[in-house]
Amino acid sequence: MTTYNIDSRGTACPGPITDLIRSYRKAANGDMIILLATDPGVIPDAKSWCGATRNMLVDAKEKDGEYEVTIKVTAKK
Amino acid sequence: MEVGHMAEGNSFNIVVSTGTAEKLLMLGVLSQTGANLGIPVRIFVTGTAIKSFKKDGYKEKPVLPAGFENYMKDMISGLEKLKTDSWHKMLETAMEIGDVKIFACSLMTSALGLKKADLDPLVDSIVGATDFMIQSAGGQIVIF
Repeated sequence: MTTYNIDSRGTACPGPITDLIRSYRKAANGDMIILLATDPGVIPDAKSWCGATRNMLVDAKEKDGEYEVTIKVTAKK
Repeated sequence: MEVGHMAEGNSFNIVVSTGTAEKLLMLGVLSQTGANLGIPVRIFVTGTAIKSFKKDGYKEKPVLPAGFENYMKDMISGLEKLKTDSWHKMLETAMEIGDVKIFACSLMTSALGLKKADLDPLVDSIVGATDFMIQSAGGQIVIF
C-alpha cells in the first residue's frame, strides 16, 4: 500500500482537487491519499468527489484554517 | 473508473460568448472541474470571447466588465495572492487531464476574417452551431 501526501496549501479551487486527481491516476486500490489544503471548499468537494467516484472518504478535518482530507482508493478498475 | 465518471454518456457544454476576465476565469474553473470528474467538456467560443482565443489573445490585458472595474481589481489582486492559475493555464490543464475540446464559432470567425491558423492552438476546430448542438445533445449546456 502506498500513501500519497499532497500539499495543495495556498492553491485555490479547483487546484486541490486537480492535485488529488493527479495522484489518484497513479494510485491503486488500497492506497491512501492525504490531501492538505487551505481552500475552504476542499472538504465538501472531496466528499462529493468520493461519493461520485465511490472512493472512500476516511477523514476530513480542519485545524487553524488548514484542511486535511484522507481518502482510501477503492474504485480503480 | 479511472478518474470518476459521474454520468457516463453525458457531457458538460459551455457556450462562452462574453470575453470579460471573470467569465474566462469561470470557464477555466468549470472546464478543469469537469475534467477532474471525468466528464467530457465541450466549449463553444463565440461573440466577444473570440478575442481571447485569437493566437496569443490570452496574453493581452484582460477586459474588465463595465461598472465593476474597481471590484475586479480587488478580485484579481486577491486571486494573485491565492496562486490561482490563469484561465488559459486552467484550460491547458483541463485538456491535459480530461476530455476537453474547444470549438470556435464559424459565424464569428468568418465575420472577423479569422482562419484556424489565426486562433489559439487550444482551439480544436471552427464549427457551426449545428455541429456543436449535435455534440452537446443530451448534456448540460451553460451559456455565459
